[in-house]
This record gives sequence, structure tokens and C-alpha cells, in this order.
Amino acid sequence: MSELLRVNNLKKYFPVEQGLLTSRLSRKVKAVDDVSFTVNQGETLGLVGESGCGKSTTGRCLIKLLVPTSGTVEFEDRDVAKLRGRDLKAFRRDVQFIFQDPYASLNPRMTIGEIVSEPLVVHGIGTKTERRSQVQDLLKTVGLNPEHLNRYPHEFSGGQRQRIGIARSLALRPKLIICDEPVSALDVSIQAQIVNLLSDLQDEFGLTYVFIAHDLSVVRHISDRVAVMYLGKIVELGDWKNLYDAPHHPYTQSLLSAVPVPDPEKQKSRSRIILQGDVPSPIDPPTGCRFHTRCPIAQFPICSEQEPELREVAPGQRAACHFAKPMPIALG
Amino acid sequence: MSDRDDLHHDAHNPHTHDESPVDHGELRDAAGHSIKDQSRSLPIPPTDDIITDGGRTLWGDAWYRLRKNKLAIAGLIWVIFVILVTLSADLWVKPYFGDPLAMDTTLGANLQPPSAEHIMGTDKLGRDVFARVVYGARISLTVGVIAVAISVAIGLIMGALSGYFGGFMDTLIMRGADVFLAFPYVLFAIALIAVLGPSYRNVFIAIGILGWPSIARVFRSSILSVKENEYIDAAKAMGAGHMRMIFRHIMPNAVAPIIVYGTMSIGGAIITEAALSFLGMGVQPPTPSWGLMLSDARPLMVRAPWLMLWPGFAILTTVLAFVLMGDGLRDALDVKMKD
Repeated sequence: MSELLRVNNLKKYFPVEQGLLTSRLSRKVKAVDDVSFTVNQGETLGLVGESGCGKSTTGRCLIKLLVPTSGTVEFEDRDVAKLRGRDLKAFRRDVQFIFQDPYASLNPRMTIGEIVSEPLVVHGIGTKTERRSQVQDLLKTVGLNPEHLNRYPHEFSGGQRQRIGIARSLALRPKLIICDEPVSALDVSIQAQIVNLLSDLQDEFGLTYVFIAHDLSVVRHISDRVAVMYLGKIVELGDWKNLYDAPHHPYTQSLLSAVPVPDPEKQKSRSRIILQGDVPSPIDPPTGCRFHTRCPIAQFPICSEQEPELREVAPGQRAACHFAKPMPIALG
Repeated sequence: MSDRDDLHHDAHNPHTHDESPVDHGELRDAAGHSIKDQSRSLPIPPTDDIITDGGRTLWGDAWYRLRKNKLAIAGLIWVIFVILVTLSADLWVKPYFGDPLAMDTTLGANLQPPSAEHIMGTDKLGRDVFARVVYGARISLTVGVIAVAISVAIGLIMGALSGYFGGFMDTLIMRGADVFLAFPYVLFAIALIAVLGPSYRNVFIAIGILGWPSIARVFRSSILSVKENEYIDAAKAMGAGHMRMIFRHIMPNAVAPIIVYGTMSIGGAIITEAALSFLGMGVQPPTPSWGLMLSDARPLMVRAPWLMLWPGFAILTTVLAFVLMGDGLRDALDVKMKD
């Protein structure tokens, strides 16, 4: 398998806006702080973490919606930040994005036909009639009625709108799609439909996904590999099976133990790891290991002084913890 | 975008749950009474044919909501009425009621109270007040519309530059707007007209120039909120250019407040024109203007009150009509008020 996307030491800091007289550059939110990973052709990489851990910022850096503070994003061995003109346009064709909020991601003043065909118009593909039939095909592909071309987004439900967003992202036949929490705004019953649709489309069009989510049970269904993020850093990265069967990082373990088990007997008897406190502020992250303030197995002073490397803990599995050890968590 | 926003969104949008199965439980109305009979006859809609009402656009929806607002429609009808009367004035007012400029110097022809011959009476120079009120509407409406058109034209460009590009451009334009807004409005208008010379044309130039900062501010903030939407990111991610972004994605979603504000501003511009003319800085005699008529009527308020009442009534109703229309438009264009 060849590497389609390579992320090297990606950092994205946002300046904290302060008062008129204090310096604006003095403090920064370290939304993404030194993240590296690769995505192989045809696979799905799940990017998981709680709100504010930098997973969406990472996703936006991947498609150049945000410019990284430092580090590089390479798509097909070319630095995305350096793309200009025609190369940038080609990149925009190859990489698409599916947004989290199906209500905010569709322009309310455009019809479904206009929305789905817009990428084709922007890239000058096909004539008007060709585009029309292509849009109808796309709507059929994502399970919508192709007759609904002339309707407006507000006439559709959340799940249907997300399908429209997916149709739009497919229009240019991209190689890579970044899905930024595509199901977190939807009802649970519809979440499964959308995840299954994405998975079917992957087989049909040979797509590669970066699938961002805060819900491990959603990611599990679609991912080949999973990266767990905490406070702007990847704390564990591995094949989904290894990661779910034998999580090494205490944060991954606590996330897995938070996934509800459908069997109430099992749910009652299983031990749960409940983290204390809130996520520390990314403006002023803890020294050493960022997780040490909430970690159940932290030992001092090493954890508060030395930052753990993301090291190989098992074949195809890396974790950033001084005391990484496998701990299976019972899942339904 | 936080998850909280999404919840918020869902709470407002009744379409969210359409794919979930239809609840066959007992339906109750607001008071808790069972409305079982209706629930039994409710058909189960097929999944993708639910909320459709024939593909009405958002603008179509807005018109539908505006039609239901009686006050706004009353305002609209009054404005249309005034426009029609003014446009057709040459056909029936001049021949049957009198020329607004024709003085009657015969003894006793001036300051007549309303009568069959002069339905609104005559002024101190024996001119027919009704004719002057009708022709005064021409001046007022023209000044109102052109002045606001000038403010909107400048304001839209300034607001778009400042809101879309941000940064230094934003600071420059907004501080410029602050300078304009720092001066008392009428005083600034008087100063401008003092420089340009008092005339009908200079009145709307002055009002137009003074109006842009508010329009620019409203439009800028509207653009800033539209820019937060993910469909803007979506357009950026597909490689859309600035022109497409501004005219296709931002403008159509950001102009609603300008339509509202512009409509209300027409009323404001009419008042300013009247005020300037009242002070002798606007339309010059003998051209009929509501403000000028009020000014002429002031010393005669006790002897001939109708001289003051009719133009005053005309200003009041016309301005009110524009404000009611603007108010109705605001409700009609607000997507959040959608039921």
C-alpha cells in the first residue's frame, strides 16, 4: 500500500486575542501540537478525541482551509502548503471534505442541484446537461430521489442533508475525503445509515478517508487504523483491532470504557475508568505528559517532567505513555 | 463549531427527526387533550417525500410570511398608493385641483380653509395645498429612494470589503465609518449642504453620503456571521474564487438585513429631507416640499392650522408606512422565525 497523505510534525497555534494594550502575540492556543501520521491509499484512518483536542483543526489543515503554524502536510509526495494556481486546483479536486453540521454546510439559497454541481462548475467540468445528469446520478448514489434537484436544503431532514453533502464531495471523484464528524449532528438511527453509506462508497469508488469523530463506537465500524488525540497530540495510534482489543494508553482505555455496552448486566458489572476533572486549557498545557493531570496511573515526577515519545508498544501500534501496557476493556 | 451549536440548531429545526419512524402513540394537542382521530388518519410518509411543499424558495417563503403581516401590507399598500398618486399627478391634479406653483393674488384667495374648490385649503400665496402636498410627495419619495440608493451602494461595497477581507482594510473602513458617525447627523448634513450649496440635488447627495456608515456596519456584521457558516468553508475547499464566494455564497445570505435597514432608512431620509427643507437648507421655494410647507406654516399655525396639518400628516403616514414595511420584512426574512 502506498502512502497517499503524510503529515509531519504538524502544529497549529491560534493567537489569543487580548486587550487593546496587551500584546496579541503573547499567548497561543496550541490546538494541534506536533502531530505526525500517514494515511495509506484506500484505507480509513479514524481520528478520535474529545471536544477541543484539535482533531477538527487537524482536518482543516489537511485540506488547506487552515495554514499550519509549522510542519508539513504532503499529499502524493507534494507539500500542500506550497501548492499554487493549477496545482492547488488539482489538489482541491482530489481532496474533499464532509462537514459536521448538515444545517450549516449547505447554502440555504441554492438548490440541491446547484449545490451538488457547484464543484463541477468551479472546475469547469462538463456542459450544463452533462452536469445535470451527473448530479442525478450522484443523488441516486447517495440514496436520494434524483427528482429533488430543484428543492432547497431546508426541505430536507438532517440525514438527507448529510447525504447531499456527501454527494457534493463525490462530484469531483476525489481520492481522499476528510470526514469531519459527519454523523455527530445526526440521530443515532441515522448515524448508522450514513456510516454504512460512506463505507459502501469507499468500496465503490476506491476512496481513502480520514474520519474524524469523538465517538469510538462510530469510528470502530469504518476505520482500518485509529489515532487517538488528546490536547493537540496523538497519544495512541494503531490498527483498530489492536487498539480496541488491547489499548495501551490510559486515555484510550478510559475512552473505551466510556462506550456503553448494550447488555445491561455486563454494563453494570464492568469496571469503568472515570477521569477526574476537565481537559486542561490548550493555552497552557501541562508540562511533561499532557495527560498526567487526569491520568489514573501517573507516577511523579517522571510524568510531569518528561514528555513521553509516541513509541511502538506492539506491532503496528504506538502509544505515548511512559507506562504503556495493554489493558483490555470489555466491549459489548 | 461546537456540538452545542448543533443541538441548538436541531432544537430550532423541525425537520431533524423526519427519518425516524412515525410515532403511532396517542397524539395530544397543546392542552393535553387527545387528538386520536387525527392521528389515526395520519399517513406514514415515505422517507424522502416528507417536508416538500413544491420547492418554495426562501424568498418565496419570506413573501408568504410578509403577506400574513397585516401592518406591513398596510404600509406596502400606502407606499404604492402614494407612488401611484404622485406618478399620475400631472393627469388629474394639475387640471382639476390646480397647479402647485400657481399663485392666486386676488384679495381673499389666500389662507382659505378647506372647501369644495380647494379640498385642503390654500396657503398664504393662494396656492392649492392639496396640489402642493401631492407634488411634495414626488420630492420626498425621490429624495428618500435616491438618498438610500446612494448610501446602500457605498455601504454595500465598503461593508463587503471590510467584512470579507478583514484585517487592515476592515480597520481602515470601520474607523472611517466611526468618524462619520461621530458627528451629529443633521449638523453634518447642514455643513455638507453649506459647502455644496442648498438645492434639491444636494439634499440627497448629503443624506446619501451620510447614510453609508450605518449600512456598511450592518452589512459587515451580517457578512461576518455568514462567513462562519460551513458552506463558506465548503466553497473554499472546492476551490471557488473570490467572485463566486462573494456573489454566490455571501451576498444572497447577507443582504436580508440591508433590505430591512434600507426600507426603514427611506423613512428616515424623508424626515431628514423635511427637516433640512424646514431649516431652509434643502429644497428651495417655490418647489413644493413637505418640510418647506411646514416651515411656511409655522407662523400661521393658529390662523390656518390646515397648512401645517396636511404636510405633517403626509410625512407621518409615509414614514410610518416605510417603517412598518421594514418591520414586516425583518420578521419575514428572519429564517429563525420560520414555522
